[in-house]
Amino acid sequence: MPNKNILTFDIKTGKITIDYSRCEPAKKNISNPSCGFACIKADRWYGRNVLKIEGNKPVLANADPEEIKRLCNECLACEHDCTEFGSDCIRIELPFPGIDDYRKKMERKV
Amino acid sequence: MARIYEYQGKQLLKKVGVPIPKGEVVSTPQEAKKVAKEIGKPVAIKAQVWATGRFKAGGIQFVETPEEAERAAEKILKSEIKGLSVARVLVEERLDVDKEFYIGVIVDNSYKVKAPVLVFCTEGGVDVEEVASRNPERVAKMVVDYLRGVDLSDANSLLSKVNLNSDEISKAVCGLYETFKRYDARVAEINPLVLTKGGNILAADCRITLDDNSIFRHPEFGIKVPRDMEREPTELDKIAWTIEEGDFRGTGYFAQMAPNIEEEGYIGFHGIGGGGAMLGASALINRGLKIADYADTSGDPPASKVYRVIKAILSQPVDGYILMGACLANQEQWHHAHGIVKILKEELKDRFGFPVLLLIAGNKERETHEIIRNGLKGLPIQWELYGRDYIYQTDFIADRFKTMLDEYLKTKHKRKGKG
Repeated sequence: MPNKNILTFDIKTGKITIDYSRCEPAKKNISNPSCGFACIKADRWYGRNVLKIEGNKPVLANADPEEIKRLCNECLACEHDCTEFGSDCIRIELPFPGIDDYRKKMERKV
Repeated sequence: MARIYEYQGKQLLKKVGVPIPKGEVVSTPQEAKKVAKEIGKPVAIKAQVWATGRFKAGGIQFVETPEEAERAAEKILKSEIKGLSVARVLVEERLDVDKEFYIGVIVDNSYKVKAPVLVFCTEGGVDVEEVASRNPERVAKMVVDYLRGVDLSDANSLLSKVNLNSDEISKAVCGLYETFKRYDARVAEINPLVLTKGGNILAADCRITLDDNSIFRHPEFGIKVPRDMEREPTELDKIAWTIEEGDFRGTGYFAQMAPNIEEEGYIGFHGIGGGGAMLGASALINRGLKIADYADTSGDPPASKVYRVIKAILSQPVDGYILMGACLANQEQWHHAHGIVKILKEELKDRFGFPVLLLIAGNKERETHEIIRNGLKGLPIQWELYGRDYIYQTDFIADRFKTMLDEYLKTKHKRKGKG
């Protein structure tokens, strides 16, 4: 069963997760949250309209996952501005294959 | 541009009918002896490294017997040629040289040409540009019509410009051009092309560099990182290449300069745009600072690319990080700001006093600085941020960073002493 409190979607080289259980407008179902929908503003300003407000929470502006991948310019601004002005409920994972193993190897050498 | 080794280049030339000396590439002295024995005459032992001037650097030795070949191979394989370790040597028949020539095909990017240019010189084994300035009558050039290609009559006409007439050399010219085209080269050179005393024409040495963007069409070369490097890529170079591979949104360049760091004081270097970055790197080196890597994120890369490049930089055992993003017109720097803030918050939350200096100027600079200033608040590092007022003050920036680094190292020693 998908978790209704979590919105997660793939971007070109990573994954974005929005935790509604921490998101003020989603949690309180209010249209004028203190963050001012910072994630949406950031997406408009630095990104390419991947998100929109629906039911007082940020949701995907397009239902097609491939279109989302195409649209998202990986500006990382939604995560940044949610942390800065909101309730820190967006996480962007950017996998980097091989780097963790490399670091472990280096630590062993040192 | 990605390079291939001399022995690989010669195999390509052989495929198109350009004669090459008898020989084989080996990786042990014993194999060298065996190949020398099979050749049955004096041989040359040639280090397979991406460096010019190998002979003067001790990377090429001429020997008479298989035993001498074994000893010479052992010596070369244990040595470093111009700082490069030698994994393979080419054991090749020694040529009885009567005359040497140069043939090259080079992509001329200039506005007026934009085509491959064939160059022929009646002196080989030398710097062709030096000959062109000293004796221009010895150098012939021809712009190639790429769609039509090069045939024997074109090659004959090129040679006639230097009063030479030889079907064998013309065939070598055509063969080199065919190699250039077939393997998507940017530069293909035979230097020298040798005329032996017995009257044979042979490619004694060659240098072929391939177009980075065509490497995917040539898996046969096994090139893991299609970059212009003088050495094989390190493990971290290969990992960092995955940032770029298949993602053409801007550049995320990373190359390790000091792969085996065993002492403290190395710094992670990150530039934006080649010119300013190189000036910055020079200023740092002039102050005795040791640079662990050279990285560049320009051409408007997404913040995710910037993030990963810095992650690669900070995966080295460095004692500081500096960004020399002097000024760039073709990107909005706020994407860099978001990448920088995300990675530094993740990586440096426990690095007390770790020095970070950010020079970042250009489009959206005010907003960029605001994002960085707010984003780095609360981190236990020492950081300084500079913008357009300092793009010509590279020396000041380098001095500041050196002071920050010295301070960090002093505190680090104190902490270690207490521990």
